[in-house]
Amino acid sequence: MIEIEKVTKIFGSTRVVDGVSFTAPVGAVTGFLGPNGAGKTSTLRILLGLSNPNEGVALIDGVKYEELDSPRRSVGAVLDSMGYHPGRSGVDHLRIIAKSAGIQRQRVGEVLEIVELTDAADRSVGGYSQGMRQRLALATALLGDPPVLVLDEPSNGLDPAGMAWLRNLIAGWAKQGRTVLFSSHILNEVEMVADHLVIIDHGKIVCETSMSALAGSDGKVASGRIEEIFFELTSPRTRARS
Amino acid sequence: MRDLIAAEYLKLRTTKTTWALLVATIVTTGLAVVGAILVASNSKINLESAHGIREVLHVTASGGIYMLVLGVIISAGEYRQRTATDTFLSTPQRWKVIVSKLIVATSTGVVFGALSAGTAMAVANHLYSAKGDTFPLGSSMAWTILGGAVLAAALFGALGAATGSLIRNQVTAIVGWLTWLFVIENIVLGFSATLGRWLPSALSRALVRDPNAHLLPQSTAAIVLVIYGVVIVLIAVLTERRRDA
Repeated sequence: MIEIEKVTKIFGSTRVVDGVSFTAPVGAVTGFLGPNGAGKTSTLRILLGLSNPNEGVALIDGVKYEELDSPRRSVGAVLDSMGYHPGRSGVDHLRIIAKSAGIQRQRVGEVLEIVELTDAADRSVGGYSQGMRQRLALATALLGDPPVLVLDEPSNGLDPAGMAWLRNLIAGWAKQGRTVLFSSHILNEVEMVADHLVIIDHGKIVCETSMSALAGSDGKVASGRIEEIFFELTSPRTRARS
Repeated sequence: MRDLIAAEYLKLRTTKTTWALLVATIVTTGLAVVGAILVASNSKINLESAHGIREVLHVTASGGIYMLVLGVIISAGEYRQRTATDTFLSTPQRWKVIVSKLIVATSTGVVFGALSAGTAMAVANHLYSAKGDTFPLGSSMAWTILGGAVLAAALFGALGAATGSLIRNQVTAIVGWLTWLFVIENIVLGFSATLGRWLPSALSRALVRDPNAHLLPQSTAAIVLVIYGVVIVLIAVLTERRRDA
C-alpha cells in the first residue's frame, strides 16, 4: 500500500505539491491524473526518495523509500527522468541494475521476455525507439518482481498496440495482488484500467474516489465520465492560468 | 555495498570511454617517455644515473590526467546520461553511491597507473638498449617513481570521482579541473613556489620525483592529495543529503 500524507514541496516560491494526501490500495490500480505541471511527477519523486518534501511523508507499506530493506524488490518504478547510456546495450543496463540490487542474473532474461525486448537486448540503447526505451524502463521496474509499482506516464512513446499491451500488463499486476500507482494525462487509458482515481491540480488533490463509486446503475463507468469530472475539477483554474 | 561496487565496475566495463581513456593513457605515457629520453640524451644527461632515470620516468604521471577525467565521468556521467535516477532507486542512501564510486575510481586508477608504469618501463628498456645503455631495473629510484605514478593515477581517479559527485555537470567539472591544473596552478606557482607546491598538479609531480622543480617529498605529497580527496568527498556527501536527485 502507498500512503501519501500531507506532502508539500516548495520550489522557490511555488508550492508545486501542496498538502497532498491520498492512498493507493493493495491489489488495485490507482490512476493519478492531472494536467501538465499539476505536481504528479513531483509527488512520485518524493514517494521514491529522489526528492525531499518540505513537509509530510510518503510511505510504502508503512516505511519511507530510503528505509526499505531491498528497494528494488519492494518497488518498481518508471519515471520520465530515467535515461540510458546510449552506448550500452539493453541487457547490460539491466545487468547493472540487477547487480546493484543483488538480483539473480537469470531474472534479466525473464524481464526481457515479459516486455518483448529479447531480440533487441544486445543492441545499444542509443538505437532504440522511444517505445523500446519505455519497454526497457518497464523491464527495469520488474527486475525485483516487486509488490508495488509506481509508473509515471508509462505509456509515453508506446504505439496503440503497445498501449493495449501495457493496459493488460497493469491490470494483470493488480490481479496478482500488487499495488499499482500510475500517472497519466490520457483519460481514456485511466478509464479502462484504473480501480481507484486520484486527481491533482495546482499541487492539490481535487478528487479521490473509487471507480465503482462513479459507475452507473449498470455497474459500468459511462464513457467520457472521467473526462467530465476532470474538466469540471481542473479546468477553471487552468483556463485562468492560460 | 559489495553488490554496489560490482555494479559500478560493470558500468565502467560497459562504457567505451573507459577503454578509450585507457588507450590514451598508455599511448601518451609511451610517447612521453620517448620524448623524455630524446631530451635527456640531447642534454648529455647520463641516462643510467638516478638523475637520468628521474628525467626519463617522471613523465609517467602525464597519464594521470585521463584518470582524473574518468573519475569525473564515473560520478557526474550519471547525470549526463540520466542514469542517476536508476542508481538512486537501487541505492537510496546516496553516501553509499558516492563511496562505492570513490572505491571504483581509485582502484581503476591503480590499474591505469600500473599499465602506464609497465609501458614506461618497456619503452625505456627498449630505447636504452637501442642507445647502448642498460636500463637499471634494480634501481630503487625507478621503482619509487613508478610506484608514485601508480599512486598519482589512483589519487587522481579519487579526486575526479569526488568532484564529479559534488559538481554534477560533467563538462564543468572536467573543464574546471583542467583550468585549475594547467592555468591557475601555474599562476600560483609564478607568484609563490612555496605555496604552489601544495597544489594538486605539483603534488602529482612530487609523487613521480620530477627533478625540474622544488617539490614536496613523495610521502607528504601523497598524504596531502588524500586529504584533498577526503575533504571534497565529505562536502559531496553533506551536499547530497540536501539535494534532490
